Order: sequence, then structure tokens, then C-alpha cells
Amino acid sequence: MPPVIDKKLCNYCGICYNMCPQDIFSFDKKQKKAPEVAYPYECWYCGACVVDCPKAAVSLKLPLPLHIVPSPALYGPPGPEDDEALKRAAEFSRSIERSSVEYKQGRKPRI
Amino acid sequence: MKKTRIQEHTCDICVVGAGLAGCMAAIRAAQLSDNVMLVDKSHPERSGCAGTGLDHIWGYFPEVQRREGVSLGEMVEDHIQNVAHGLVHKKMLHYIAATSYDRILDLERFGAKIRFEDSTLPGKLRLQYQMHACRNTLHFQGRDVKRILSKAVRKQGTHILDRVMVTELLLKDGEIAGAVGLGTRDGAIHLIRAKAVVMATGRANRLYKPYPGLPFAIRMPPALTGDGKAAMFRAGVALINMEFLSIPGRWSSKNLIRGGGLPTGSYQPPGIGVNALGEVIRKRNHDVGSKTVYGTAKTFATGKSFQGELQDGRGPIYADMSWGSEEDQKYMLWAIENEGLGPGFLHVMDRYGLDFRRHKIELWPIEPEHSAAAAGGPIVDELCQTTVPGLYAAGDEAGGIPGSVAPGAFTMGYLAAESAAGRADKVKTTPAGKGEEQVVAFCNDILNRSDGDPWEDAQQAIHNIMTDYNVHIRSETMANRGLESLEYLENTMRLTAANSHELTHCLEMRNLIECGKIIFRSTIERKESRGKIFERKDYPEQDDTNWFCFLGQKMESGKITFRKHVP
Repeated sequence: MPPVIDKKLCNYCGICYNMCPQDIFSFDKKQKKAPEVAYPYECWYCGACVVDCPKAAVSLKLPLPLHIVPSPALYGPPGPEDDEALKRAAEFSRSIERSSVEYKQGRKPRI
Repeated sequence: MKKTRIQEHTCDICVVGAGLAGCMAAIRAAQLSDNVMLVDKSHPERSGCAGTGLDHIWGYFPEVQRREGVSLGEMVEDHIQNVAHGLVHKKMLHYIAATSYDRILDLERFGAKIRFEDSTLPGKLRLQYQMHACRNTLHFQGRDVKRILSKAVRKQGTHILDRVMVTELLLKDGEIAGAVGLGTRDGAIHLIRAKAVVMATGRANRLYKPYPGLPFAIRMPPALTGDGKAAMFRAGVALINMEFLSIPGRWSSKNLIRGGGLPTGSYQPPGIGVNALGEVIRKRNHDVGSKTVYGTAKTFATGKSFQGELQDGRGPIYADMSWGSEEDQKYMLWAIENEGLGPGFLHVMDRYGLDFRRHKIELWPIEPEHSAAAAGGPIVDELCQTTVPGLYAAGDEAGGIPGSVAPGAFTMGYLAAESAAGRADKVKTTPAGKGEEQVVAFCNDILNRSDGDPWEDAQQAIHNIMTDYNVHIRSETMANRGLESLEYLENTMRLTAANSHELTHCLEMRNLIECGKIIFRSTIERKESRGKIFERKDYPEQDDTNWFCFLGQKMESGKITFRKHVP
């Protein structure tokens, strides 16, 4: 069952049922029961039910073919020799204004 | 004999599909017109491509790009040449580029956070490189962009009709008169009579076989099945570029497929692509310089490709995102949390004990996608008007503006609504159109069948036919066989449905088959190859003399006609 609802936490608000873009839940507000996953194979694993649940009662369980098989990382945190590279990375990707010299030169599109 | 119940609605403007384009259209339409209805197959709060987030949107930000020496015209020309390879609706593209920033400011007014203290750029905007050669893609807090837009839609007083799948259009004397939908929960046929209709149902995402083997394990929303394109085609609208694929050669995390957020996205400072030997195949962004995700620039600065590494026996490929300062890591997690399937991805990583500092993520090529991002669909004029009067298209629904993506959705949605409001003002009374007969008969047949074919079987057959005859080897003979196979399927399948949820899927099969047939017919007609998006074995060369055009296909009195449109 892709989304798993913790029945102890569920407050029967029906938000997951209302929001789900794939409409995989079944729910009847009058019954005061947690929604059921009626169509588990139609889950997109988008996580809408997880982020919108006011009680944090929903979690996603992956079917086996969708698991990410763990593999150790090669790099890990940078060392002191990476200071210059970290600065350039921050400039490139984190909206830090570069020196005025570079601005005067301008960037031209590849056309 | 079971019969579907019919429920009628009347409005001035009907907007179909409540993604980014549809929501923006509904908001603008309600500012200009009294009686607006927004119809969605799912629920506007989390539906469409940006359902669980949109963290980036390109535009022209004069305060930054002008200082960096890039004019609006140059940015548009960059898109024309490097993203669209010349084949693009230039006036619409210019409109999108020029007004995207205005719509971003609308988003801010609706409540989205777009400014950040850590940015030293004017306006505290976080701007990144994405598909253009300048820093013009705003990174913003968009996980809840659809909830924010839905709130703005409701504030305008728009009537929202959710869980209704529009699958047909109503016409009166060749002009638009409304839309026909199936209630995915109530099972009723909804006749929505309108003076103008804006179509914004997006792409057909379930045409090709997904590699993990599960039909819904795809990058883009599986709820989108080309319903708008199929409905418009049946209503006589000319569709263009339906023969093209969208950016083949995309890579994603293996098994749990996601879109942005991995090093193939442009904005991850720690991200690096490595092969199984640990050799760097894709450098970090700051080592690469400006690049495009569409491949013409220096995506793989090492001169090696992911696919080449696989073929040469050095696969698999991994995204190693373990480097970077704490701030870089934090920024990356923020970006992933705000984009597309990112919230689900982070949740799953947490639950299964994975983290970017300790684990690299295996990448795998994803299944092809149909010509999307506003490339294949109805041809539209400068006002988003299709070839049927009163019918407009916006966002990924429209054809001819590849790579327009989120800005295309917002700006075209806004423009289409203005056009629709103008039309609604001129039409005195809502026309009594027709067009529901076929879909009512289709549904009634299914409801009265006790044993037959489940929709899942039809979906599998469509996946097989489209992948076998439209992707692996494309030629006239293969496309002809694909067309025969879809027609056979259409005539042979006897779908059954236990409830309205399954009946919805049956109608989706009808629309996917319609889209597939259009794709095969246009594939046969376009006698050339055109880069990676259209490779034919029997016409391997690009032929600009004869085929530098949008190939339009339409149905007139049951007959298929083609027409070349000059972009």
C-alpha cells in the first residue's frame, strides 16, 4: 500500500482524499474512519498526502521495483583545499553578484 | 439497461484543466467576466505538472539581465535557436519572455515567496542558469504554488468543478459551445455550456512504456492523458508537431523517477555525474559554465555522455551530490523540496535511510515523452485562439512553443483568458451545442457490459504499440503497422468498468489511442528526420526545404487532412 496512514494519528479530515491527484483513496467522512488506499498501483509517489496531512499521519511505502538501491558516495564534505571551488560554486549557483569587471564584459547568448 | 446521468452547467467562460495555465486563466477570466468555471480531472490544489511544487521559472528580469549584457531580444533569440532549433511560434515566445516576470509578480501578490536574503542580486531574487545562456531562471519557494493559486482562484469567485474529466467539446455551427466531461467520482456526464472555452489539460503522459514496469512510474503526472488534445482533434481543431518526442535522452534517478533536483537540473552546486569507475562524466555547474538542459551547450563538459559510458561498459551512472558546503547542501535540499516530485523524494530518502552526503543516486535514462512543454498541440494565433472560434489553448496544451514550460503556462493562461473574455462579451446567449452523443454511448456500452477487458489491459497494449512502433525504429512501414495496431485495439477492446473511477480510465484509453493515431499519421506524413526529437530510418536527413514547418493535422467531416504552417 503506497501511502500508509497511521490510524492512531488520523483525524478523518479527508484532506489526502480531497487532494490526491491520482484519486487513489476511498473515504466517507460520515464514517469517522481513516481513508483507505483503494488503488495502490495508481500512486505517483508525489507526496501530496504526506505534505498536506495536518497530523503527519501519512508516509509512503515503496513497492520493491521502485526502491533506490543504496550506493556509497565518493566525495563527501569538502576539505580546506576546496575553498576556492566552494566560492565559485556559491557564485554560480546561489545568486551572488560577481565582480563589476565581469559585468562590464557582459555575457552574450550563444547565437 | 444502465444509463449515465447527465448534469448541465452554464457559464460564460469554461477553463479546462487547473494546472498552472488553467489556474492563471481562471483568475484572469474572473477579473474580466462574471461567470467563470474551472474544471479539473483531479483537484486544483495538487493537480498537474506542478502539483507538489515548482521551484524554477524562467523570464526576463531587466535589473539583472541588462547588467549582464543580455537584452530581451537576445534572450528570445537564444531560445529560438538553442531550445527550439528555429521551429517555434516566435510572436508567442516573445510574449511569454516579455511577460513572464509580470506573472511571477502576480504569484508574489498571491502569496508565493520569491525573494531571499542570501541573494545579492537586485530584488533579492535567486536567479540561476537553466535552459538559456544567461542567469534568467528564478528559484523560488514553490512547493505549494498550486495551493496558493487555488486560493487566488477561489478569491476571485470562480466556480471550481473538480473531479470532472473533460473529454469532448460542444460545438454549434462550427464554433465553440462548451465542454463535455465525466465525473470521475459521481459518474455523471457533465455538459458545461459556455461562450468560450480555454483548454489547458497539458500533455499525454501515458503513451510510452515506463522502464520500471509500473504504468504510473513516470516523470510527469500520470493523470494527464492527452484528453484535451484528443477532444480538440475530434472537434476539428488542427494539431501541430504531434509527431515529435520531447527531449529524448533525459535521465532520472533509477526506479523512483523524479524530474528536477538531480545534477541534470542546472542548479545543484554539489552535483556531479560519475560512472561506475568513479570517473567524472559531468562536472559541477561552476566548472561547466553556462549550459542548457537541452543539450546544445556544454552539458557534459568532459566530452563524455552518460549513454556513451553505459555503452562502453563503464555504467551505471550516478549522481554524486555529497560535496559542497553545509549551505550548498541546505540549498539543494530546499530546491528539491520545492520542485515537482521532490517532497516525495526527500520523504522516501528519509524513510529508507538515504542521504546525499553518504549516498550517491543511480541515474537511468527515462522513457521518451510525447512532444510536450507546449510543442505538440493545437496551433494557436497571437491570442491563443485555436482554429475553432471561441476555443483557446494555453500552456502545455498548446502547440508550437517548445521549452515555454512554466512561464508559457502562466502567460498563455493569462492571455487566453483575456481572449476568451473578449469572445464572451460578444456572444449574446450561451449557444446550445452538441457533441456529447459519442461519449455518452461509449460510457453506456461500458456500464452495460458484464465481462470484458479491464482498462489496464488496454493501457499495456497502448504502451507496447507506442514504444515498439513509435520509439525504437521509426519509419513509414512501422508507423503504418502502429496505426493498424491501434485501430485494431480500438475496434476489438470491450472495456468494462466496475465504477466511475475505472470508467474514467476507460475514457483515458480512448484519448490515448486518439493521440497515438494522430502521432502515427503525422509520423508518416513528415518525410524527414529532425534532430533527436524525430528520427526516421527511411528519411534520415533533415530536409529544411520541404519540412521546416509545423505539420498540422485535422479532421474534417471524418476525413484527415494535413497542412504545413510556416512558424
